[in-house]
Amino acid sequence: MKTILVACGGAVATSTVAADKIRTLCQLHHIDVDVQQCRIQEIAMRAADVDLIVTTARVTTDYGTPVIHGIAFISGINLEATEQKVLDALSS
Amino acid sequence: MKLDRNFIYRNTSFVDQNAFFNGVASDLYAAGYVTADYAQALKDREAEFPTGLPVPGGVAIPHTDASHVLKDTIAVATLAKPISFGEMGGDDDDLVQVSLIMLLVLTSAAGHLAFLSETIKAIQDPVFVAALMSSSSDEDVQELVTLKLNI
Repeated sequence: MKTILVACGGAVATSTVAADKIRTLCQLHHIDVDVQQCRIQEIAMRAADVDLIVTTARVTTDYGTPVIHGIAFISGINLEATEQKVLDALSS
Repeated sequence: MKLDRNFIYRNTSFVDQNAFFNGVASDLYAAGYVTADYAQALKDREAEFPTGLPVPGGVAIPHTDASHVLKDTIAVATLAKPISFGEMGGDDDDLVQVSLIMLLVLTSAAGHLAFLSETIKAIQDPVFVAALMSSSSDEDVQELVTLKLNI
């Protein structure tokens, strides 16, 4: 099982919505995932334990774990491209 | 969760983001929904993690730490003249001209997934945004939002 960390400013509004959409996406594609949420500031100490990081804020730090910007889960703009990136990252 | 008519700012003008945050936070504080430092907490959060979204109409969904919130609600502002918000996930100089603001006043995220999902779905719906923008009374805004968000 892959673990995805979804991060936003406060681990409240946007990461909750993004995490839910990622869970649904993975279910649809029969991918077994554990989706967890945290604050942007907490990514650094959790990055090593997860397979993929999705953020709804801009991050430029290299955590050593792939990062996908998941604003599309909130704006709906270019959503399919972002979903594909998530699926590709999980299948690699 | 309920949209109180006192927190509907229909066809209202604010000179900028700070004026909006100060005005609405003061109303929320007077009504016992937030702590005294809510306006500052909102501004700090918005500066660090902007919430402007370049969806049709331009929409912002400001919010801040649950520790500054005492009671759940949502405040809705349709702006007579758009104001600038930073773009969510954008670079520092990426701005969105926003004409609709949905201020999420939440004591926690747990238990509000449905509300948050419906809100995000709503702001991505150009028909809903246009209908809100052209509402001719606060009652219309309240009804539109309540029905759309299922609250």
